[in-house]
Amino acid sequence: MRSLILFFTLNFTITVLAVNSTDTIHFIPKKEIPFSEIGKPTTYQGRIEHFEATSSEPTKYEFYQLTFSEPLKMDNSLCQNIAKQLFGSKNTLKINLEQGHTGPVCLFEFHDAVRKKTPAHQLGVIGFIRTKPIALITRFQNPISTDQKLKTLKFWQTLR
Amino acid sequence: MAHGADKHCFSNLKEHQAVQAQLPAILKKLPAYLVTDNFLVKAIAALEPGPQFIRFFFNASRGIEEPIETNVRICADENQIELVFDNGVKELIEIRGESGIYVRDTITMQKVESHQYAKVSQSIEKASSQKTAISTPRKEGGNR
Repeated sequence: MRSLILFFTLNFTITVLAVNSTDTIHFIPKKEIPFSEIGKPTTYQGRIEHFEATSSEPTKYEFYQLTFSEPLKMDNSLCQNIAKQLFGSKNTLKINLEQGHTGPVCLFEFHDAVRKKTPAHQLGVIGFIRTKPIALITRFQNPISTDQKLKTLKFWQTLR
Repeated sequence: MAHGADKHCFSNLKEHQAVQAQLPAILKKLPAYLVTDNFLVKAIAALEPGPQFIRFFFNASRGIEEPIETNVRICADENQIELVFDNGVKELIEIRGESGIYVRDTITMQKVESHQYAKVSQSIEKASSQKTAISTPRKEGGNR
């Protein structure tokens, strides 16, 4: 009986994504993909699939809802700190600040040398949507081009 | 970890060799390949030592969207394995017997030879590619 209750609890609890998009997206909450949580901080919430992505544009993003004890402004230092929370301090990150539709947005990228079977080039976007700090992470097989960065940023601009 | 007094840690091949004798049976010899293969779920895990790091790889037929592939520091006593990721996140894994582990209170995995691991791995990849083809028929290219 307890197993049945657990089954229904797991299957009928709805997790709502903290942001919307003007594009068509699908959100898979982490409880539906529990193994994907391995190695990720608790700020990881699940995955976003971007259905309107065109060729060479990211189609899937890890979604992180970050928490701060006080309101902060996005800058290089904050971006570096958040990126280290997500990926650790061993990796050398390349950071760029861009202007987004809700204020400064940080793009950070690094090459993960340990990856042999999965895309090794990782790109993250950190910014604020409705004053909430959010991070998206996507991955590429090959070194990330300027065009791919722009397209990732373009998807960020669809978030509300 | 529950029994910290007997815990031994390593982050690369050299460090593994230094503590090898004190490690639980399942970690004495690396690389370690583990699988679960039943009608509900197939899963694989690999721990491969290198001169700079220990590579951790995990994939499953359900409950995951893409494989996990990262380097880890490993600490272990006779009951538990602790995977420590670069971002500080820890994953505790229970050791079951000489050659088994219990992951996420969900699946039991057994240590196997590399060819058995490869067989289950191929099976998961095949199922995953079929699932992708069914769910996203219009997508081509992209980043993954």
